Amino acid sequence: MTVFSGAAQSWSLVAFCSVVTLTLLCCVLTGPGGEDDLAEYYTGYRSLSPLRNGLAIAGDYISAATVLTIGGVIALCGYDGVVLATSALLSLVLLMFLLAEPLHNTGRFTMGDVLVRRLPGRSVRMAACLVTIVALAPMMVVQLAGVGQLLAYVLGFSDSGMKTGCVIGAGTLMISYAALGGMRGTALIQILKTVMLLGSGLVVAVLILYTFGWNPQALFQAAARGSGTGPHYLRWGMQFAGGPHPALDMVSTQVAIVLGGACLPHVTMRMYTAGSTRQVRRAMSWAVSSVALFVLVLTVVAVGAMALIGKAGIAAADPRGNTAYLLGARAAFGEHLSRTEALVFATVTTAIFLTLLASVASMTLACANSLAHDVIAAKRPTMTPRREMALARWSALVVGVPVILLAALAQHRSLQPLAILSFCLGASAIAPALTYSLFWRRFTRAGLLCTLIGGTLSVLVLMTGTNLVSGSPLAAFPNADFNWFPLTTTALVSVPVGFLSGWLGTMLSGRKAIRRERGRYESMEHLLLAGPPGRGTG
Amino acid sequence: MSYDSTDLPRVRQRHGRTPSPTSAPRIPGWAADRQLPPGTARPRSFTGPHRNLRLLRRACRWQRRVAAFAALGYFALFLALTVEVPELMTRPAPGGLPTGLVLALLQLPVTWLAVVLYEFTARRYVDPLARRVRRHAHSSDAGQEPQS
Repeated sequence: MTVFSGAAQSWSLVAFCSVVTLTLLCCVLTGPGGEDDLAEYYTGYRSLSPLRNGLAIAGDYISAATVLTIGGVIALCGYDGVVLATSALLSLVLLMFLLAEPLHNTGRFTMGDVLVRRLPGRSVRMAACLVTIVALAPMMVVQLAGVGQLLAYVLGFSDSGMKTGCVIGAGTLMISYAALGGMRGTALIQILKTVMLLGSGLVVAVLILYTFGWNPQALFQAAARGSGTGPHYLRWGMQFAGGPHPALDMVSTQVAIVLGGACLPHVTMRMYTAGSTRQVRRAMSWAVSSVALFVLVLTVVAVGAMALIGKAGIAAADPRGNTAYLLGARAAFGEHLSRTEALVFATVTTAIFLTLLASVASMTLACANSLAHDVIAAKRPTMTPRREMALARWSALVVGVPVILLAALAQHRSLQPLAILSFCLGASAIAPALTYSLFWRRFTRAGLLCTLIGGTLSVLVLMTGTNLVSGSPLAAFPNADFNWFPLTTTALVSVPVGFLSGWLGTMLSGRKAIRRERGRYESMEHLLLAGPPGRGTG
Repeated sequence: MSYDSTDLPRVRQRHGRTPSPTSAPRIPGWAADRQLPPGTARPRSFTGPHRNLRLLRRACRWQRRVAAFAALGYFALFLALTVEVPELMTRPAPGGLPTGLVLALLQLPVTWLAVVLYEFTARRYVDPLARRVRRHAHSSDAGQEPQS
């Protein structure tokens, strides 16, 4: 089952336990103290410095699904995986260039706040909350199920009951992080995770490069030999080689990642925690720099895994290569581990473990905040802050429990379609809704609802027909075959549907509505461009 | 993306009447959310705050468009070349690696440069305008408080 020796396993177990204790302690200590301060729970008082906020954004953005899935694709498919990793980086850059500052200027606590500031209405809040949950819940299921597999793999057990126990334990932890820590507590965990992931990853990457004499060419050539496909490893087309339209498939996947990755609500919610427009920009610079560094580390480690272990070793551990990052890290230390090496390797596994926990906790927080703030508190304007905060904490439980159940049920299936579903929803529903409502002055409420609902429905319908769900040996339902959609990712169709339905909804809502929205846009334009008066530039 | 208008809609003065605050859609957004006591003359000049807002809008739009199109353009071009002209992308680059892979890895330092450039231009050209707009909004808010 596992290639890890006893020393690495026991160090990892000790490290996992200490990380859990430490992070819980952090959450309790830094979580909101006062019982009636909403701003503290939702944004941590906007008091984080740009560097810390940037590391937290990077932490939110680098989810475990990103590390393990993209690591696997890089290791197994070479070139295609590297392109995937760079498009993940591009997504964050686009968030910085286009949306970060307007989001910060107009938003308060949730995505619903941003949309409602522009187009008031309860239906808008409801739709925003619904899309937030539909987009993030699949990602949470993927990661929680991943915790069970990771622990089983690293600690070397194969009992299915144990795995389910791990999923439930991790789920309970994620709810506690979100409910106890609020925005500030989860930010702290994200910072810890980013630092650990980058630090341990850098050590491993340096070791791998050292093994190949600091020569990237030698590394890539060795990986190409190890893959058994020779030069094909260094050109595009291995990832979708089996499909009918490999080129369209590749473009569609990139579109989903570039437009959807950074628009997901658990990333955008960190835009509201910066103190000023300038700080949000600085924070994003740090975040982009950290993610760029991580993309480099991930590429070196995953390619190194292929070069050192070969395709057979990687595919034997996991047919999709999800464990490639860990295998690469283990292989970098050589055959036998000294005590120090075992400790460094334990840091790598702990960083991945923490990544799983932290990103799930942030997603729970985003969903719970949206549920409490957009749906329940917005219905009763007289609700006291103390009650709303209690509500937000209970919402973490309400969101978390079904997700844990789903993860326990789905953990033995291929979960790739769920991760792709999240990215596609971000690209097809959330990205058009945010761009239209922040930059298009004639955008109306009907248009917004059409975008959110049309984009979401198109993804949900098309996704069922892809070969990730059925009709291939690695699909979620390998024994069934209702595969009718020719592409692997729906983005190439669903993103235009999302944008078009917003445009159509606006055009059909009448001249009067358009004129009204235009007036409203102009009345908030100075806020959108310059930020609220009285708050300095930092 | 955004609707292109170089100017804010002007307050039209039909038949020599002074525009009243109730004609909401025609009032520049700048003034729409501020409730002047009835009878107060609305500032007529289009120089001060409106000019600032207009300049800020233009600066933001220019910066966002150039930055986003540059980033997306590079990536789209790279993707198109990868898929359509594979022979060019597999040709070995000076380092020995295939050109495509070098271009992909080159995106990391280029991204970093773009971010630094973006931050510099924002601080140099956009922030002073935003500060001016915000200061005006703040001072007019503060000036209004005693009246209300």
